[in-house]
Amino acid sequence: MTVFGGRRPAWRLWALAVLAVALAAPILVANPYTSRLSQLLFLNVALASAWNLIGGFAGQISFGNSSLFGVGAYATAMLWLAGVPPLLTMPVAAAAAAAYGAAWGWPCLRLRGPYFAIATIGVAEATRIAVNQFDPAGGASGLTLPIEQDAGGGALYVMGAVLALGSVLVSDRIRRSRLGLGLFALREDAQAAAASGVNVARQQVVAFAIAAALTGLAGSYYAQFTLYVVPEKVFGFDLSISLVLMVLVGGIGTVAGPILGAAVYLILEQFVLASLPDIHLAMFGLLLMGIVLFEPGGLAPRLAQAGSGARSLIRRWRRPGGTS
Amino acid sequence: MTAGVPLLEVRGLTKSFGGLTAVRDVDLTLQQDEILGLIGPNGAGKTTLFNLLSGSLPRDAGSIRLRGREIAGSPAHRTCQLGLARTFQVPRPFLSLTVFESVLVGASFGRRGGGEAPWARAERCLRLARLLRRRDSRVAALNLAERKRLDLARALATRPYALLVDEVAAGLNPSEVKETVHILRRIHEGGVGIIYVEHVMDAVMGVSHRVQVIDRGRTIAVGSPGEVTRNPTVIEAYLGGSDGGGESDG
Repeated sequence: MTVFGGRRPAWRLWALAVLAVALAAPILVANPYTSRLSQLLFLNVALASAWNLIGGFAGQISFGNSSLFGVGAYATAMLWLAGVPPLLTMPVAAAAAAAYGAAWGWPCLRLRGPYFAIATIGVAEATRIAVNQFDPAGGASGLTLPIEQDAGGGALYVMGAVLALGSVLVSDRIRRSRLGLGLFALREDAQAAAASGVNVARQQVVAFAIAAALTGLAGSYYAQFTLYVVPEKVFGFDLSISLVLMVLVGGIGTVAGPILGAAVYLILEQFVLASLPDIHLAMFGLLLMGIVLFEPGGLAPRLAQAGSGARSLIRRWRRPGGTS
Repeated sequence: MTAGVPLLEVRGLTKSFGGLTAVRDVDLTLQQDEILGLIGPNGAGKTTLFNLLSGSLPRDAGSIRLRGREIAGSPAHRTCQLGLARTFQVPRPFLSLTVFESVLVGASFGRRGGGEAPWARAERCLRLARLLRRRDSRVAALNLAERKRLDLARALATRPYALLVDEVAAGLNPSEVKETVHILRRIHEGGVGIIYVEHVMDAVMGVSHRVQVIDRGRTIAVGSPGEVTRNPTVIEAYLGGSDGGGESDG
């Protein structure tokens, strides 16, 4: 596994992903339950991919991404209630979250490891408490959005698909870019990276601002399909933790890991939530322990390995006279 | 137009850690096209001096001029981009990257210009450091000698005017030392000035044009390798010194 550069862009893979998402649309949108599931999956994929930019590529574990998600959700909710069409609030949500992320990322990203992680918890909790007290935004009871202007299942499906695929695409492009190379270098050794000319502070803030913009967009999307934002939910610590879990289970620092982790998380959540509410986090904790003990790289690298093994098996089987 | 101006000119460089003065009022001059050896007993302050020059540590006092331009106070990444690169006493590899990617970091983020694509410069530096064969290996799979050469290649890829090399021969066997010294000469032939800190005397005396000796944070001798090895103060610092006869550092 090369972390940087790698082979030619996998156009066929991307075309296949778009095709699969498009073909699945009519089936998923027809049923309100599957429609909601697909929305949640798109949301989680976007959030986990964005988290991975700073947590995986730069190695800075953030427990504070809910603060960025909440800013995006509230930006859309407040502007929408002020009469702005929801779609037009999305760029504002992205910009507001990016600005907020850059503002607190700039000082906090000077810390590394557990110190950074603790600082992010502080920022996120402070943000949640502040919004709880902020009456123009509905305070602790939050904001309810007009149901009669609901975009409808089809539009929300398309919006979510674009958001999720776009986040993964951004992640893949950064992995192959100069920015990505600098992030990998500073993750491995910040002092050696600086000695090689990498502006460690700036690289991290740029990556964090991009992650924040994507997280803010996801928050805006969330506001548009739940039609209800409340500090305990959109600024909640649960949300931040769930992102860390998804990426660790799927495969930290990889492009495919967050997708896989988001899917596993959603399946587990739905499967267990139906029978035993609130046990899903414990289940996920157990899964995480298993991953850390037996597969520290996460599921994605192992699946890729299995996939290439299967491919070579098929190739050998297809080749005439290729019995060995 | 920079003729006559030293490549690197250090005046009055000082650094204290609490009560210990690790580097005291050190002057140092690296001429264009020169390899300057820097030796001294353990704890003399050589690595601290490198950390000050490369911007990894803030200095207390003193000036550092690179090609006439004051660079003291610049952070580490800026110092590198201005053309003063370094290696580390213990190699600091980017463990999860490949050999090529590691050198590409230096080539992508170092001093700008040169009209050469970063990947092309990275390959050229790998060839010079005799690592091209290992291009796509994980850095974690390299042995010590290869990691030391990788540190050199990564620093060289940043297009430095001057290179600070810290104990690149330490811990290597004689044939590896020979190969590494050969690579240092090749780097120097490419027009890069080098300050070379080393305990392996054969290596540093063989390759240096001049040698500066540091003891307890101070310069005690400067001269040709021959002059320095005959200097009584130097012999005293290496052989005497530790019996506690001298004054203690305040």
